[in-house]
Amino acid sequence: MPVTLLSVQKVAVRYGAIQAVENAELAVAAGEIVTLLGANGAGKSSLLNACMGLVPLAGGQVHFDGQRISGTRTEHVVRRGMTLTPEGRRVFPGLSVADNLAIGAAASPQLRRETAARRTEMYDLFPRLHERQKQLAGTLSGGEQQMLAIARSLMSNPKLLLLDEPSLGLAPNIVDQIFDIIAALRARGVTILLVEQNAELALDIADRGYVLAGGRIVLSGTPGELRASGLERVYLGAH
Amino acid sequence: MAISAYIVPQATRSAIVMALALAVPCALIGLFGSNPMITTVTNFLIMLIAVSALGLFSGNSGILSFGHCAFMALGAQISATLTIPPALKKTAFPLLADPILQSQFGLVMALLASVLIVGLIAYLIGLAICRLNGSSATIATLGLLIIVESLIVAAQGFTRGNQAVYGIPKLATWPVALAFAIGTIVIARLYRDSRVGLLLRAARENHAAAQSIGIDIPAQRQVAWVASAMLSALAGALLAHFLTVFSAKQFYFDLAFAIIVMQVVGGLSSVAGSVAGAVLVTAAIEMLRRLENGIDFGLFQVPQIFGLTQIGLCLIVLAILYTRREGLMGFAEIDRFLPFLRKREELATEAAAPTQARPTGTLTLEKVSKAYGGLLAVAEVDLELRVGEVLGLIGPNGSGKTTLLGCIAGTHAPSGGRVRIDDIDITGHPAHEVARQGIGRTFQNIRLFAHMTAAENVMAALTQRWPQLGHAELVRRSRHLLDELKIADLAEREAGTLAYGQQRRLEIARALALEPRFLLLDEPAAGMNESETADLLGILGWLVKDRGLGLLVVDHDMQLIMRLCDRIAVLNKGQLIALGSAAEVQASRAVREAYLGRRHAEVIT
Amino acid sequence: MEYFLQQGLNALALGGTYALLGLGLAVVFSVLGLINFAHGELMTLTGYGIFYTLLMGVPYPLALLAGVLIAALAAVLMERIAFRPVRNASPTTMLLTSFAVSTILHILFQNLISARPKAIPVPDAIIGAVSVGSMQIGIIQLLSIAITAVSLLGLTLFLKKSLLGIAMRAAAEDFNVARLMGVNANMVISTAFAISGILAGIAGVLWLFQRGSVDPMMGFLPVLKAFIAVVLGGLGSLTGAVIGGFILGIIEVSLRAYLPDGMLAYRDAISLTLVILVLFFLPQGIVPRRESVR
Repeated sequence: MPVTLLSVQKVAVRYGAIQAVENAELAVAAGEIVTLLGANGAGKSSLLNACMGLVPLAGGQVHFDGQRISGTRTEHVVRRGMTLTPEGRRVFPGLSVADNLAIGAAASPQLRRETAARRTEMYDLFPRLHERQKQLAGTLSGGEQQMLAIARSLMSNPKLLLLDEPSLGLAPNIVDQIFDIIAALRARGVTILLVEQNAELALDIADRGYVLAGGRIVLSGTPGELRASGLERVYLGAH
Repeated sequence: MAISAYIVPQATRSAIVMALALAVPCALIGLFGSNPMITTVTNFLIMLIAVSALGLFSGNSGILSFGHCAFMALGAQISATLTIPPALKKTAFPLLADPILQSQFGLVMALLASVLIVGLIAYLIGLAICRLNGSSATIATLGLLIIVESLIVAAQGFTRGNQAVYGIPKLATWPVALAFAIGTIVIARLYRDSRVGLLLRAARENHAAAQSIGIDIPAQRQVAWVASAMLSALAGALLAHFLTVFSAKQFYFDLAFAIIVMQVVGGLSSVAGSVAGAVLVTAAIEMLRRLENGIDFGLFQVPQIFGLTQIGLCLIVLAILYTRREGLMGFAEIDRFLPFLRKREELATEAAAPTQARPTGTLTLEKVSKAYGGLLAVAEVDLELRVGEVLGLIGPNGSGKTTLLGCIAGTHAPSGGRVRIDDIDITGHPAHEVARQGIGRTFQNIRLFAHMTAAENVMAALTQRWPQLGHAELVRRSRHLLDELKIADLAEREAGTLAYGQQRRLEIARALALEPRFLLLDEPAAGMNESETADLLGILGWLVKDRGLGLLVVDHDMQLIMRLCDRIAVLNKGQLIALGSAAEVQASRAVREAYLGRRHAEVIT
Repeated sequence: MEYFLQQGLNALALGGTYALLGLGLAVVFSVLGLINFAHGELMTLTGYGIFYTLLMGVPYPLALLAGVLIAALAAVLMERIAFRPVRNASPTTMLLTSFAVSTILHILFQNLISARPKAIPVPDAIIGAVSVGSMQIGIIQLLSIAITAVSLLGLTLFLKKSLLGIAMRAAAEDFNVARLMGVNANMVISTAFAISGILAGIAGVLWLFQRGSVDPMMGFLPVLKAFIAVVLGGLGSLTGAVIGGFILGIIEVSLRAYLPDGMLAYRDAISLTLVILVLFFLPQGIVPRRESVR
C-alpha cells in the first residue's frame, strides 16, 4: 500500500465574499502523477496556493507526509518537501539562471548548504540551463524559462511537486518537451500533482485525476474512468 | 458636442440632493447660530471646496496630489494682492508694478483673476506632471509644492516672503462660501459621471486598456488637473479673505496633509465622501485645537502639547487606513444608498442596431523590424491583413509575436519599416492614436476597468469614439453591444467580479465599441479549456462573417488557429518563415521543426 | 579650472548624500512598493542618537556607529509596528501611512526633545583641508565621497553575492513567487528596512558633518529632495536612484556656484523645476523600469 503524501480534507478558500473552493477532498499517494482538471475559475490555482500556505484556509485541513501543514508558513511547507511551480513560469527575470536556482534552495539552512550540489544535479538534468547559467532568466526562451521554473522548484528536493499549468502559453513542440520532463521526473521518484487545461495531455500521463467545478470536486478516478464517465464532456467540454 | 454626455441625469439628481443636504444646515447655522459657530461653518465650507477640488483630480485619476495646496497658496496670494487697499500695498509689496499697486479690485474680479492665472500656470505644469504615472506623479506634485512655497518666500517684495500678508478685506462671508461650496460639489459630481470623467476613471483603472480604446491619458488628466487647480485657487483665495491675515507657511505640508486626510477619510473616489471627510475632520480639528492649549481636569492637568492637532489627524488617518482602506464611502456616491436617484432613464425599447457600413481597408506591414540593443526581436516582416480575413500568427515563445503585435498596436515603436492602413501611415504612432485609426485589441491577461460596471466599460470606448453621443444614446448602444456578446444581463455588474469567459466577452465588446476595422487578439485562448475555446471560436467567427472585421490572432492553440484562420504566418527568431493556408503551413518542414512538434504534425481542421 | 574641480568635488559629496538617501528609499520601494516619508526621521534619529551617546561620554567614532545602528533599528521597528498592517495595500495607502508616521515622529521630537537645534561637535581632525597641488580640498568632502563609495560597493556586493541579497532582488521582482520558494517574507522585508536605515544613518552622519547640529526637521528637506532624485532616476531602479542623486547634487552645487547673488534664494525652485522639465521628456525617469504590455 503506497503512503499517502498529500491529503486535503474539506478545504474551503474564500476571497472576501467569493467562495473559490468549497469542501474539497483530494489525496495523492507517493509515486503517483495525479491531475486536477477544471474550467477557468473552477478554483484549481486557489486550491494549490492554499496547500502551499500562500492563501489562508477558510475551512478544512491539509496534511503532508503525515503532518498537518495547514496554518503553517510557506517556508515550512517547502522544508517538509512540497513545492509549487506557478502558472506562467514566473522566473525572476533580472536574476541569473544560477541565482534563480539558489532561491529555490533558500527555505532552510540545510538546503542552503546543499545548494551547489543540487545545482549541479539540475544542470545534469537540464543541460540547456547549464549552458546559460550566467544569463539573466528574462532573456531565456519560454521553454527554457519553464525548465528553469521546474528546476528551481526541484532545488528543495521535494517529495511532491505541484505543477500549475506547465503548458500555458508554450509552443506545441515545447509542450511535448515539458511533458517528457514530467515523465522523466516520475521515473526519478518525484510525485506530481498536475493542474492542466489540456485535459488530453494530462490524462495521457496521469495515474488518477480529479475534476473541479465551481470550487467543488465533482469527479475522480483513473483516466479511463474519467474519459468513460462522459462527465468529462459536461465539465471540460470535449464538444 | 452633446451637452448630455456631460450632464448625466443621475449625477444631476445626486448633486442636487447633496447640495440641499449641505445648504439647509449651513444656512440655519448661518442665520441663527453664534459667531464662533458661523466661523467654524465658513471655515468648513472653504475646506470642503479644497477637498472637492482635490477629489476631482485625485479621485478620478488615482494620483494623490500635494500640489493642490500650492495652487491654494497662489490663489490666496493673487487675490490678496488685488484686494488689499493701495495704501497698505505700497509698504507690503514694494516691488510690484505701479498699475497693480494703485488699483484695488472687488471680490468677484479678484477671484476671477486668481482662478484664471492659476489655471494657466496649472496647464503649463500639467504638461509635465500629467505624463507621469502613480507614485512618480505624486512625488512630482510634492516637488511642485516645494517650488511654489520657495518661490513665494524668495520673491520678497512681490510677495511678503516669510512674513504675514495682512489687511486683506474680509469678503468670504458664510453665504459666499456656501454658494461656492455648492457650486464646487455640483461640478465635481457632474464631472465624475460625464464623458471626460468616465474616460479618466477608465485610465485610472487600467492604463494599457485605456490606451487601447483610444484614450489620450495625459490629455484627460490635464482636463481634471486644470479644473481642480482652478477650484483649489478659489478655495485658497476664499481662505485668504476669510482669515484676512496669512503667511506662506500656512499653505504648506500641514494644510496639504489635512486636505488629503479629509479625502482619504471620506473615500478615495467619491464626492459624497469628500463632504463626509470634510465634516468629520473639521470637527476633529476643532476639538483637538481646544485640547492643544492644555486642559485642566481638576485633579491633574494635561500640559500644552505642541502639534496635537497634527498628531490627531495622523492617528485618524492611520485608523482609517488600517481598518477601512477605501475610506468611508470608497468608490460609492450617495446614489448607492438612495434608490430613487437611480431610476432608470427611459430607453427606446427596441434597441435598433446602429447602422454601420461594413469596414473596408488593408493593414500592411512593410519590412517591420524591432531591435533591443543588438538583438533583433522582429526582422523585416512583411504582412498584409484585409478586412473580413483571419490571419493567424504563430511561432515559438520569444519568436517576436507579441513584439510584432505591439509594433502594430503602438505599444512598441518599430525600429524600422512601415505600418499602414491603406495609405495612412501609423508607424510608431502612440497606442491611443492607433486605436483611433480603427485597430482594436484584446490582451493576453484580460484587462478591464475592474471597478467600473460592464456597461461603463463599453460606454467609455463609445464616448471616446463618438464624442457627440448623448448619455442616453451611450447607454442604448452599450446595451446593444453587450447583448450581441450575450452578456446584457451583466450590464450593471462590476467588471472585476465577472467570470473568466464573461470577462473575455466584455473585453471584445469594448473593443467593438470603437467600430474597428481590425482586431488584434493576443492569445485569446490561453488558459481556456476546450469548451471555453469552442465558445470563443464561435464569437470570433461571428466577428469576421457578420461584422466583416479583419482579425490577427496570436495563439498556441493549434485547433483554434487551424479552424479559424484563412492564412497563417509563422515567426521564428523574429523572421517570417512561412505564410500560407493551414495545410501549407503544416506541410512546411521548417515549421514542424521550429514549432509544431510530434503531436501536432498531423492536426487536421 | 580649479574652482570648477573644487565645485565638482562638492557636487560629488552632496550628490553622494542624496544617492545614499535615494538608494535607501529605492531598496524599500523595490521590495514593498512603499514610498517611505519617514525616511527623513531616520536621519534625524541618527543625529539625536549621536547627540545622546556623546552626552553619555561614548567616544566619537562609536557614537557615530551607534547613531547609524539606531536608525537601522528604528527602520525595522517602524516596519513591524506601522507598515505591516498596510502591506500589499495600494501605493497611495502606504505613502499616506508613512507620511503620518513621519509627522508623528517629528512632533514627538519637538515635544520630547526640543524644537531647537542641538549642537554636535565636528572633530577638528576632519574640519581642515588638504592641499593637492595648488588646490585646497576639504577633508569632509573627501570623507563623504569615500564613505559613499564604500557604502555603494558594500551594498552592491551584498545584493550580488549573498543569498539574502539575491533573495531581496528576487522579492523585488516577484514577491509572491519568492515566498513560494520558501523565502521568508518578513526576513526579506526587515532586511530591506535595516539596509535603508543604515543608508539613512550614514547619510545623516554626512549631513551632520556639514551642519554641526540636529533638530526635529533635519531629515525632512533632504529626503524630500531624495524622493525627487529617485523619480528622476526612475522609480524602482536602484541604479537610477544613485544616478538621480548625483544629478541632483550636481544641479544644486552648480546653481550655488554660478547663480548671481540676487537669484540664490530661488535655487531650490530652479533645481526642482529643472528636474520636472527632465521628467517631461523622460516620464519614466533615466533608468525606466522594465514593463511589458501583455
